[in-house]
Amino acid sequence: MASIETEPHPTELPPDSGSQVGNGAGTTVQPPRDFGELTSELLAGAAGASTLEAAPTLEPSTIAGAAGDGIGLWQSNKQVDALYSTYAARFSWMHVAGGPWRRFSPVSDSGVAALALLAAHARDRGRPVNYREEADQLVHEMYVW
Amino acid sequence: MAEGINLDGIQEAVQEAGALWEPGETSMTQLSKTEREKRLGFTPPPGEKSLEEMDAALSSGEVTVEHESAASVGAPASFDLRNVGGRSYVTSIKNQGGCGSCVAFGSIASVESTAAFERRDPNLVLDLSEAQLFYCWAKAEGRNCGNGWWPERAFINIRDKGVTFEDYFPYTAGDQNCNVNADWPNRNAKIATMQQLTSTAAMKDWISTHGAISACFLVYNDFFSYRSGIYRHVTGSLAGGHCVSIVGYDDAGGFWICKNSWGTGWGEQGYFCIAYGQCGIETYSGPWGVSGVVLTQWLSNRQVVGLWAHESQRNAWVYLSGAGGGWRKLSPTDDDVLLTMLADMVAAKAASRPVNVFDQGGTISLAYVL
Repeated sequence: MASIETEPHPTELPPDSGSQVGNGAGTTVQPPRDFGELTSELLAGAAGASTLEAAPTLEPSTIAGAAGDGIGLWQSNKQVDALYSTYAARFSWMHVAGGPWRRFSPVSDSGVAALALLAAHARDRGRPVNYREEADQLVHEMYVW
Repeated sequence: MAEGINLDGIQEAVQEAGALWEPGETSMTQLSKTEREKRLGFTPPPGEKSLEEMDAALSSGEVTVEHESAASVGAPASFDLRNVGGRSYVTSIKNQGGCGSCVAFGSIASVESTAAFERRDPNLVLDLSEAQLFYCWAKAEGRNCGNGWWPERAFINIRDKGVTFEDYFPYTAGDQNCNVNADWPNRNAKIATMQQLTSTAAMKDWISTHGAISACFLVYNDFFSYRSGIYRHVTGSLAGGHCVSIVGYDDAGGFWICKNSWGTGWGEQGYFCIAYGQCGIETYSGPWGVSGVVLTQWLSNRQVVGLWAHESQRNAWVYLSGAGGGWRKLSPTDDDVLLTMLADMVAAKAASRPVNVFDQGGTISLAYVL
């Protein structure tokens, strides 16, 4: 009877994720001045994520050694120590410390750009990543903590 | 001396019957008969047996319940949402006061529990507005404190319109105008699905999988004096119909664990156990389970703890700290929106700066980095 979301999504939890949670009451902030001008169509569209789409499945507390729900090989708690990109479309790479260069899967413009943004943050701040690669040696999804 | 309730007589009858519950003085027995009956707000929907017809059907054996074990559907033999591995997925006991709004309380209690349990997040302690559900949505259907309601309509309204948070329309007992905060469309909960549960096994499966369910039953006069134990009707005439939230069960003991809305001065700190097959609780106009509680609200002053991106088009998520935090999808309206928002979240994470985001059913549609 369950209607469990099946789209890909993150599954890990952050390290030390036992933070306080409540109903959010009392923490409401005022929306921007033009918030009321947003159309219902825009808001409806923003909320219209397909339930068949990919979503994270890992939680930050499983940062080391955890596997996601995707098929393939998960590399966990890795450091990104170099980045590479060229004029070619959807052609962006990261280098894993002590390991190989890995290219981001070129399935979509936004996918490559998003993965590259995460890798850039990981490189900049020395933050650990968990990523999934397949036999094609492409990075198909990635967490950064 | 409780008006219309003979406590000594009830105690004697319970003892004689060998029933496993303890009657006594409660917050309900201290009320007048009229005030007690105000707190019974279940009205059978059109086409359903009237209270009197249901009473007769139960007495005659026309309505019976087939008892199916939880094991038959792979559910635990006993289950209590107040203690699932040491964690509670039940919100606090409420008090409907002198208004027949039990349907709103029983329905919302189930939604609040489901929201937390389906996420496996005991810290997600929702407090939704029974006032909006009853004084706005039920009122629009001609229902009031005097004539009550039924759960199916309550859940249809929560599914189709939503219900805001308690702070946007706090509950007080008594018919009143729909005085809800005008910003409520930006602060509410909806359910994705509702399901009538047509067997005891399905009830147990739903509770142990999704969360609390809503159920209605006949109330007899001995019920008002319930203090503890496993209630079964022993004596007293029919007083009315009532709806509650079932938060657990126990196959060995043969009972449901229920959350009432009569305050903590009644029953076991507001809860009661009722024996399987009693008073129509498994069969009368339900029970109903809900699934997929979607929250729309501002999440303020949060830290970006993690980020996730996927090769597929416009699919990036952010993990937020704090109350009701966790994974949220960034708006996939177009590439520009997604990547701009992701860049903002990266900036917030890199600098450990707080963010305020508008969470629309799990998708962030507006974001500040502060």
